[in-house]
Amino acid sequence: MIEFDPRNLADGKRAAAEGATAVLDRDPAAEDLGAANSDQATEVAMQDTLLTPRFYTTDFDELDRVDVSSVRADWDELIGRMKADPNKKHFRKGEGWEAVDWDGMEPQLKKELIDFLISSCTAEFSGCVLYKEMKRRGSNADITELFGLMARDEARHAGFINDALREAGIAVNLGFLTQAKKYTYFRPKFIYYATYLSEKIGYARYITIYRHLQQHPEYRIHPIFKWFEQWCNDEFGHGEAFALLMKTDPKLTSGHNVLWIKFFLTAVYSTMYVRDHQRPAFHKALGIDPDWYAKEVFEKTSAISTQIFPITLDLEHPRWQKGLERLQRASLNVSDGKKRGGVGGTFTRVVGMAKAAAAFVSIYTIPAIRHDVPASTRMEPSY
Amino acid sequence: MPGALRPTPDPDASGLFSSTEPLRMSTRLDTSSAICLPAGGNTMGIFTRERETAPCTVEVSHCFESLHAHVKFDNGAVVHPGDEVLVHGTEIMAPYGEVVIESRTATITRATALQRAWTRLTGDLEFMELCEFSFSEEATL
Ligand SMILES: [Fe+2]
Ligand SMILES: [Fe+2]
Repeated sequence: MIEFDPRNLADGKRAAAEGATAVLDRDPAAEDLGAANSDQATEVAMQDTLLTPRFYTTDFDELDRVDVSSVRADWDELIGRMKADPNKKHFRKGEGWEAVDWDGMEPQLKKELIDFLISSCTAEFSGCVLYKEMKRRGSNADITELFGLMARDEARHAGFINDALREAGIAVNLGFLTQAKKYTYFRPKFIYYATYLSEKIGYARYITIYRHLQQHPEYRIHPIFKWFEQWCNDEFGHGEAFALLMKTDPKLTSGHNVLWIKFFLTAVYSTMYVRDHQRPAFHKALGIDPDWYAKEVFEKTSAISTQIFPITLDLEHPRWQKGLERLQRASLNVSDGKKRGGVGGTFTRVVGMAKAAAAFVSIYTIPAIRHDVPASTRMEPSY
Repeated sequence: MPGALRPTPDPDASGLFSSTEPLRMSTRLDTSSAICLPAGGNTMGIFTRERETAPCTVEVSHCFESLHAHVKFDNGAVVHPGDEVLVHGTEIMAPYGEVVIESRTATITRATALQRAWTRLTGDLEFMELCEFSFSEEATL
């Protein structure tokens, strides 16, 4: 799971509706008295960050009817690998985890780096909540085993990022459990499309940053990036599982569903583009041009997604990059309007939303590239 | 799993426990005194929302190895689209390095038949939130 995960955005919207400004409800005034209760009494002044994952329900009967026998060999091999848990010892802070000079960091960079870590943590955590729910509610042994293993990985990823956040003086608050939660319905196929893509694009994002910093270690502003190589193999494997699930039912990747696939590809790519452009200082410090990064990640994700999706987006089309830039500008209008408020602000916001919608339609209607899908979906991480 | 397993505190008797709450109490939803309408009813109202209470086990792990939180209904109650769940009692604060497992009571407010149908229909449409980009986020940090 990864930071601009669709599940996460949903939360962001809800948080905004409740008057918060971001995915997470940060309350600097609230002290983390939970920490004071532990032996780390020195951390009383930590900034408290409330995690607010969204809760989903789906058609669990449909999920239980999934029959993986048509992909049994690949399935067993993948599950066997996940069970062997090769990354079990990876998520430990040992040698190579240098201290980060948070106090000496340029304030804007610090803000953006912390925002990156918090949204990554929320995404991993939301993935864990969703997978665990699917594990608990299902009765199909293959399905529940898979979701149990993936929930384990995501909880581990979330714990690792949480620790990095603690070093930065940020404590997460899991108090959301005692707040009223509404369960949103998501059809299984939409969970497949959205989650498959978020796992695969997550892999592509992590590995692209990792390879870049391998060549330019001087830009490594935080030790966590050193862990990305093996980390992203977990995400790759999760994506493999969803590819196999989709393979069990050819209808999921044919007919009118191809339009849904195109929709999810467009939405996930453009969301990433817009959100990455919100962290200029972070990308500058990493020595990464967000436009270059977006292109790299889209190309990798597209190449991987040919394993199961019969189409890829035409990233070379003249309307593609232009449309993304229009969308980014429109998103600035919207947030600007929201900040200003009043009649003028509302007007700016509405115009911005209309512009964003038009930009989205303009990229969604670019003809997709069709190709044949291989008989077996299995792929190895190779970037 | 490392980390001490804390015994279940009695939410009513444990002054100590409630003192570990953060200072956000004013914003916390507290409906522990809410009246519970017909409990355990399986019939679904068309226009009325029914409430039932269910014992549940809450597990919160705030460890390096695993950051997770789950609610499990001990009586096998199942949550459907549009239902709302509220776990009663004080906020569950797992100190860092600990796993907290508590028995609590939850109120499940059932969606009406109409609401449930509506959530099924529109829940799928909520993926449109995917396209909301920064409508919910600050476009600049
Ligand atoms: Fe993950
Ligand atoms: Fe994942």
